[in-house]
Amino acid sequence: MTRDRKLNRAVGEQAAEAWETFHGTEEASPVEHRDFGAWMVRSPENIEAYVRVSRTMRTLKAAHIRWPDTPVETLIREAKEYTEQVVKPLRDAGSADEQEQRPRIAPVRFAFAMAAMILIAVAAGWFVWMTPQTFETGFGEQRFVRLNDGSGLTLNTASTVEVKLGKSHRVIRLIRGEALFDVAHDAARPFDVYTGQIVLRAVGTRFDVDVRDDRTTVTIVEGVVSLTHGLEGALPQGNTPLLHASDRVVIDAAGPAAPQHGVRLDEVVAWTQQQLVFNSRPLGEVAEEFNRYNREIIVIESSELRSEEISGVFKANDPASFVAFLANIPGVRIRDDGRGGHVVTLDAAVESRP
Amino acid sequence: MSGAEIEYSVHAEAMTEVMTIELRVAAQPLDQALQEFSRQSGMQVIFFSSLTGGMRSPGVTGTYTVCAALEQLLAGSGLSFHLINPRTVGIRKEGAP
Repeated sequence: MTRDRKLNRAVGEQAAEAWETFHGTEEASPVEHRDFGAWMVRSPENIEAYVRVSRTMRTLKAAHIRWPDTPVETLIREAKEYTEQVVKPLRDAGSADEQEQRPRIAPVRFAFAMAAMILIAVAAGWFVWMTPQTFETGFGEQRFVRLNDGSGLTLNTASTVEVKLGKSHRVIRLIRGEALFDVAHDAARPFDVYTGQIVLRAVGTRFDVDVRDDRTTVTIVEGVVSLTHGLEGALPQGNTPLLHASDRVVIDAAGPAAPQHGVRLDEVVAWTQQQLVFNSRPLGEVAEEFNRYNREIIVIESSELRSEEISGVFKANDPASFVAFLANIPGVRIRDDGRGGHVVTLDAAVESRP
Repeated sequence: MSGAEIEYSVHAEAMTEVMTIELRVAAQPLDQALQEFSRQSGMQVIFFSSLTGGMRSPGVTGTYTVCAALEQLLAGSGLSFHLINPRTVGIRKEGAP
């Protein structure tokens, strides 16, 4: 057995189609059941493909399961349950073909054990049968992408997303950076955004996800989004707060904080106009924002200065004006860092003022 | 401020006194009025948040130079503006350096 062989693409597609037939639609016809049974026993590879598809789809369906973080054993158990659910109607179907179908069940179950073995060894991709579309932006770059379903994706600086638009799911993975999602309404195809340990589900809405080293910030601009966090057992079941327009949740290593309400949305979406809008933001964070877009890095060394709050509107590519503002503050000194950036300090006399 | 910067600043002021812009900024909290002014005029604006706390602006509607518009927006606030450069306005206490 080759441990890391890739699934034949055609087989993967057939398996995906089969999954759609049995789980993506209300009722599968007796003919479809029969065809599926015949296809399953045709080769162990088909079974493997189906198990893998089931596993992947199960992962997407169940909020508490997240591959690859969930232990393989759990995934197999889940996939097995799913496969059995599909196989069962085959036996119980009251069609004329029942007698003919019955003997096929045993090989399916036998082969399943084999498939399960393979499963442990194979590091399957996410949506095994479908290559994701990847969209990226470089440092300081932004990009708007119109997806096939009509949804819009605006990528901020240094960001990567993977997109898979399936028949019954739209799955986006925000690998790094920040994106604003304008989700085209399609109640039959949930729009799921995966990032870190959270899953955001929207039907038709607009929301921003900003992934930083130490935290992820989710802000809803329009509509309603559900947020699911954590691995199996990490949260009580059903803990999927619904977020509405102007709600914001910050998720860090400790998990999601309580949602903030009434967030100023102009600040959230300003970046799509290459603007930075600040409402009472500490200077330290403002400098960080400029540093996301420009090689002219600004480092504010004085902690007192860093915590001073400012408000304003800037072009994201104009750190020079921000530095000029800083230079106007009494006691502030600015020196070059030798690499085109600036180091900002405050005179000791001013720093210790009452 | 070096000689070059002063010249720059004088030039900037001349520009903003000559150029007129069409504005429609409603009466509202001052910080928001300044941001709205920024959006409509294309001028960058920056100030310490503590300066505008609780203040309201009468707003400004019509055709104004940048300077005239800012005077109107800041009317009665005890605040003044200065040009950090031709595209950036700083807000500070009246009479502050």
